[in-house]
Amino acid sequence: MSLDLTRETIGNALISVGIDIGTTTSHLVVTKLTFANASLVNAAPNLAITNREVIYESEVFLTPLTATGEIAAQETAALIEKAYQSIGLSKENIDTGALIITGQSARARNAEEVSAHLAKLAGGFVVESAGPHLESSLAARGSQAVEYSKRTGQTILNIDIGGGTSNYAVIAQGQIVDTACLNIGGRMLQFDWSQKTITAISSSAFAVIRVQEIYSQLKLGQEIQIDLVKQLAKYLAQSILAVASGEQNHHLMLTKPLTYTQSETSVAEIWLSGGVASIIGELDFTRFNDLGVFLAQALERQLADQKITYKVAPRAIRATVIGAGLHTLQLSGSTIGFASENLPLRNLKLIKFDATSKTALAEQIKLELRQREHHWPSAPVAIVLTGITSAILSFTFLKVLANEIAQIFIAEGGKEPLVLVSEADLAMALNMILKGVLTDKRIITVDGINVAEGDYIDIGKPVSSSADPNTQSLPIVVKTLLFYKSDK
Amino acid sequence: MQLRTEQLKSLTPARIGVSRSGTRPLTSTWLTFRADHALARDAVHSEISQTFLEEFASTRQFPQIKSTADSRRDFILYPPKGKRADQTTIAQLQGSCPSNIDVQIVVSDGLSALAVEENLLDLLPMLEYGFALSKISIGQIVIARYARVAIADQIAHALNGKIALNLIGERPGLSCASSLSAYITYNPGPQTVSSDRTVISNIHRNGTPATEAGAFIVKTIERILDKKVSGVKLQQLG
Repeated sequence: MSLDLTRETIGNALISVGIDIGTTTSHLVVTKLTFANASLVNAAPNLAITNREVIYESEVFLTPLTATGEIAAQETAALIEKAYQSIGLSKENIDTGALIITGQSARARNAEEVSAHLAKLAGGFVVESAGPHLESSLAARGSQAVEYSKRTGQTILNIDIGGGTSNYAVIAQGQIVDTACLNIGGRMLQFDWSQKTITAISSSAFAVIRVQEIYSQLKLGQEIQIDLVKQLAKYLAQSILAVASGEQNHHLMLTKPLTYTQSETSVAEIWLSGGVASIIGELDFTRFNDLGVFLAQALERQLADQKITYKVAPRAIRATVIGAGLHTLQLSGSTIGFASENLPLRNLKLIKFDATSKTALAEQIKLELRQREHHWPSAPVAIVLTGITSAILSFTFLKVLANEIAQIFIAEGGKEPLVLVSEADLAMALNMILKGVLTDKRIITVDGINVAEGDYIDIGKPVSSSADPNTQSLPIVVKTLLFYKSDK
Repeated sequence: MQLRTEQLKSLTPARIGVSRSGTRPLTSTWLTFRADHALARDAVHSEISQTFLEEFASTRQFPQIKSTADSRRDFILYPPKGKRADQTTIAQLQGSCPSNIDVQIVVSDGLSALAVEENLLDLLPMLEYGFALSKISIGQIVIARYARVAIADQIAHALNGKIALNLIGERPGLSCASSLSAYITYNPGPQTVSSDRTVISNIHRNGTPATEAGAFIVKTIERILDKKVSGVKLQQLG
């Protein structure tokens, strides 16, 4: 099968690729995003994503590992390249996307090396290793829990149980309000069913074995004792549910515990996604050479015993990668300011300014630059304007703001282009005012972007709807730390 | 269920989930409706306030004119009167305002004087700033009372302006009584019909903010000057 991705066929759509390099398996999806003006007739235009279509899902393949358990960067890149070739995809066809390194592999020592190898394949698009928080959000988006919550107003707890980790996300009215990650997954133990032996024990499984002495007979190369493995699976399933109901001190937590239980939001539905969730109901332990089926069975049992109602998500498997391919992208407003030749821009550090703070803009920006250890003359940054409500948004306010921004930009010798991002609808006005102050500087201003969470930003080339090529928006990806550091 | 209704209501300014008591609306629903309706009626009947005219228009020496309607009531009852100013008024403007300009700006009360008062303080400075930056000449800004959209075409035509820009109060709805529109006509004159005009509507605090709308109007006018058409013909260019 070969995808027809020529400009004539694609038209004004964007091609987005999501690549997930997981602890055990890896895969990729290709999605097509189309746009239309979502504004009222005659009102200022506003482009929105109107359709997301998954046009290709690759086979799931085992992630190549080196003898020491790291991801084999070159082999992995070769596999992705093969998948590209099988559908005639090249980096020139790809407009946006995300490469994420998930589960335990995100903490693999060579995540950076893997990213470097794949970046060449991925063209200019987003490359990042997902920390447990991002992975939880992506899974919740990919499983469709976010969309469902937005549509129904229900609060949903999505638990994505994969090979290495279980990722929790609480979604209230379509907003992800809490995330957490537990180091439990289907690949904690691996078996060789022909020899009936245990072939691999993950570090998290060792941790359980150490704490729960009864499992001390679980040893590498030993014969599989079904009863003991079932007992372990039961303990793990109980742990997964305990953390879901707010347990604070589980020794396998990779993040802070969930806090939603202390808030007033009560969860209306529990959704399960991920590889383990997708095999709930499977009876044959030996179907996979790992703990997966044991864990799925134990989980089903625990859910029944504790009388917890749940749903297996409509998109249970590959939820994370679909989430990465579809949802990391935001579309800016359509009244913005940019010049196409300055785009795309990648990996700009976000420097935050809070309009509600009493501290002056210059002071806030200087402090942020220092804290982020950024040398502005060497690389551009994106200044994020937060706290601007319709009550304070006036011409005078924007003029003062523009002057302050111009002053600090000149004083610090900031590198062009000067990039400003805001959620409030002000980008075209701010751009125009700034052009009057900084006449010979390149300035990019975008609005309609939520940057509450994030450290870096990518700004793509403009997109438009086929009905009105004059209405243009910029595709924007807000990213968290490129390489995850534990918050525990 | 309660949560879900609140969620749906938060997504739209429309009156949904208003509930009922028997066959009648709830008292609170009815009172809110009456209050909003009164606001809309007031907006239609109200005049641009004297304070606003003095503080905003007089200090800047903007000429203030009236349409052929004698009063607000006359204007509401006989809408065609709002489309034109009389010949004396036009002659006075010709005597006092610069002609042969790019854009003739007219500020009209239309069906909501409130819209003018709430948006102009941010909209006008943005327009002046943007036009100056793009070297587009704007001549003298005229304030027109009891005025409808077409009056700007007549004034711009008399002053030989390439473009008429009418900033006019929109007919109020039950969710917003202070929404302003910008009507833009290229080569305005007696031959102008509605399809010749480009419109940017919903300029208000919860729609397109006035400053942002100002910048968008400047960009739109730059394009109209470049293409030398407005209205449906501009849309057809794609």
